[in-house]
Amino acid sequence: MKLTTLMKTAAIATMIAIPGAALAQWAPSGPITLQIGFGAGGSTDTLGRAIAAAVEENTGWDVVVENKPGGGGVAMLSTLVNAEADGSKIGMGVTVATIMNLAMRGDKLPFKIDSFDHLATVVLAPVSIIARADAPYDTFAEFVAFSKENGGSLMGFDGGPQRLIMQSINNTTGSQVELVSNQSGAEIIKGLLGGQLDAGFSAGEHIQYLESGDLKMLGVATQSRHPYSPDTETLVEQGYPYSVEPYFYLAAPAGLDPEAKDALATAIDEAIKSDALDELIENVMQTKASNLGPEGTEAKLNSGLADAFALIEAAK
Amino acid sequence: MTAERIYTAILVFLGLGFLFIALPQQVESVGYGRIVPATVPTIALWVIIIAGIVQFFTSKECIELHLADSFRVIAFVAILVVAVWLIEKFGFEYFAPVFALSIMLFMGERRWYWLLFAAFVMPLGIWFLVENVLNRVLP
Amino acid sequence: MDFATIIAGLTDALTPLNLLFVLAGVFVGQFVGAMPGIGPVMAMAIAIPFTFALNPLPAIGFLVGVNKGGLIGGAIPAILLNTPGTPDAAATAIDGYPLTKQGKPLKAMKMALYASVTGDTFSDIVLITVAAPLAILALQLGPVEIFALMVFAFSLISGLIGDSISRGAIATALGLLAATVGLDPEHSTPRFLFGMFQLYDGFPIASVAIGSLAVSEITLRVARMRGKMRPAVVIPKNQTKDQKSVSFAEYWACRFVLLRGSLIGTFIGAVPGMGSTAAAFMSYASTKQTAKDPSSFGKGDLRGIAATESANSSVAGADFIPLLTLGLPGSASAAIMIGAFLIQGIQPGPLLFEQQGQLVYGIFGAMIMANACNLLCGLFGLRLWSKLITAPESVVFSIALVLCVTGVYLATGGAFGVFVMILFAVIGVIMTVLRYPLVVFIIAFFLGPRFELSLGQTATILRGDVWNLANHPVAVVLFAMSIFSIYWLGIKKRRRKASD
Repeated sequence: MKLTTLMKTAAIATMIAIPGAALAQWAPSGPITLQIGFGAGGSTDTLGRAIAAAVEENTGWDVVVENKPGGGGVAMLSTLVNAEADGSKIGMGVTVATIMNLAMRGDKLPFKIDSFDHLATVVLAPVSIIARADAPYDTFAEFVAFSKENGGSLMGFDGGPQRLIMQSINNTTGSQVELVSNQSGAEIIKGLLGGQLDAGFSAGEHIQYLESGDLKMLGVATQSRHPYSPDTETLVEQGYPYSVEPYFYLAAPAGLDPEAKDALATAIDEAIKSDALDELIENVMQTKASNLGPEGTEAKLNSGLADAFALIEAAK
Repeated sequence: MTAERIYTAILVFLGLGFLFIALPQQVESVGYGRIVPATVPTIALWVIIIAGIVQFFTSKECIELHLADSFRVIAFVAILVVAVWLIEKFGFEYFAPVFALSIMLFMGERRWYWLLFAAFVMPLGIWFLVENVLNRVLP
Repeated sequence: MDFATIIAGLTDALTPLNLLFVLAGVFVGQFVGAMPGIGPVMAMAIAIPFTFALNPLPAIGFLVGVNKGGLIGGAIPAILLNTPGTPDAAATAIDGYPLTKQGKPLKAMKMALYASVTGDTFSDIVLITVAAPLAILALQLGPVEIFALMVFAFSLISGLIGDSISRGAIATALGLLAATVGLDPEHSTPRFLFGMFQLYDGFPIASVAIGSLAVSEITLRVARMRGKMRPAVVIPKNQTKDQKSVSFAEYWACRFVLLRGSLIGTFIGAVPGMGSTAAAFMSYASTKQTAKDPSSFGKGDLRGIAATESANSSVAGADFIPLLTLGLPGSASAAIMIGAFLIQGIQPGPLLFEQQGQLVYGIFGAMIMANACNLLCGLFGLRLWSKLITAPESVVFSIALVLCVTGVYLATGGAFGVFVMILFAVIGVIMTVLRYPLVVFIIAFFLGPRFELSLGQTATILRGDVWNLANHPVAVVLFAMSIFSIYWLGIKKRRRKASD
């Protein structure tokens, strides 16, 4: 045990000993480890560390952050599933990454959705389809038509579901869009600005380029429109029945004591609502926090998995 | 047959094994896209096989292995593996000193003050620094 | 951008508090970066939580200091022990370690320091004066051009493979093959996992670098050690000034080498996607190939150190061009830097210079100050290292190994990464003993994922038809230069050597 933990535990113990002062029904017996399913420095890591700091501040618990990168959270979830369900270990990942892995090769993975008690979502990444401001199309439907006429336009993507969506649309419309793999939204934006790509996906990085007038938005790839660009229609509204909803979310191994689950979910919810997180989310994702709560998170994962199976079929 | 030829032959057979046995099992086949997951590994393996065959017939390199050194390498790696396993299982603060001590003894260091310094002061100092000052987790 | 904002920003960097943080950053970076097994990137990752509570300028200034200090720190174990913690430093070790064996470690380290500060200052000046036009130029280089640039880099580096072409080809292919483990960049399907889900993201970079470069060297040294305990580095007493330091004449003799290194580094940094490893080796290889006496390289030639260090340090300044204008990181430390920007509420991108002009110029000021601190701190620190390193080999190596295990554990988040490190140490030992060029293997491994991604992007953009290259004249020129350089530097030189 670490010295700081010892001191904190001692401090909490004295607090509890004062009659009437203790409100906490459940408190962790030692430090809580928050495992991040991605490497240091990324947006998941940044958000996770801020949540850990806010939980520490609000509750006095000791939260230690660990990075367990690998396969979009698969490596982290594969170890988390075997951890003891005492509330001392929780993990943070991205819903879409978990869902895609379960849908594509679920038989090879040591976990399912119900292997975890889900605690909260943090924020929905504002996935959009964008193009250079001077492109000869203004909506996604026009882009599809343009690509069809011109023998296939080039489109940048940086994730499995985006690729599947475009393949499905290629199948139904014959748009022949060529998909260029990229490592990040920032890289796609570089390709658009440099004229190497005709359109691309982005998850928030594009918003300041809308302000600066370099890029425009062709469509929204999540299920509802985004507040910063209320006139841009979703893909569904434009007649393509697909969406992708990547939420950052937190989970613990299944079988938590209901009181512990409740205490953890409340603590995380308070952290997500804190001013520090609000500001950070505004900076990182340029949007607002949205916590669906424990049931909502689980429902989102389940419906997402069903959608993913349908999408894989449609993309064939 | 020289040692060089034997090692080159082993390399070529490993390359062939990877190409025809491991690659089909360990790489998924994908029906779309301009390059498939197997493209680059296949190229790399063919380069290894062809360059290996050329080397088998042309190389005049003379490889010498010292038996004593080889045993020391194997023993040293064994110490590393066991030590890391013990550190993971029982904790850094208990087995990192044992690890450092066994390596120093392996190298032939017998002076107690150096042993004390490098096997106890340093590992425990590192542990204290990482766990309590940097607040990171070690096993 | 008006002049007053620029001046206000630059003077912000000169307030005592900000200077203090920059200096502290440089100190931490040099010290932690010099730890075998920890290295410069880890130094950044460790430093970042400490900046959360600071204001933006001291926070970023501190990290800039750590980053720049780490570049110098990283060269120290490479020169003193031949145990580089990063692939860039592997190029420094080629000529740095022979100087140490000749009893001149201080001279080698000083050359590294001067070259590093020179390259760094060069690219900072480029960043401050022409970042905007350079960023626009870099935008024009798309995936096809970057792929061609990568092929050109490989063709230059092929000059390093040594005497046996087949051994060089095998080492390159092995490096590429090792890089394909994990999810492929085009379709995200897992490859060569053999049931280990920890390998989803491939072999952890820290494990491979530290295992094959540092731990393998320690293993070999320990295995060959017999009998009496010697100091890790022997520095003869009563050295003349010439053996301990780099004279101005020696520095000046390297001016073209330094300039070429700085130009290569600045260019590679401005075009994200290649990284400092490519820059360091391109600079080293071209310096060696164009020298009148290429055979003196690898035996302790100061030009080798100057070429490498000026190139990899100038990448660090130029990395800020795509970082500030596009939010695109060109290296692992730049990725950590972006995280720090976001936490501080600064969004890199097209509006940054408009909205945060004063802060940006404050950061530029901090970068220049960091270079000065680097020089001061370095001159003091190098002496300290050259004293510490005279401890017995057994002490130095066992501490280094404990640090390698700790560093890799922290970097990869578990014992699995440490076992991978041991695996690559074994691979490194086998390759060294069988005389395969280990450095080539490492370069191929580090450039491999990017190479494959670029290959896929290029194939898609050209729609699978090579003739579409006609639309990419820059790429065609680069491909032609690659063929020319392979002929000129490889085949022709080899023939000349054979006829001698």
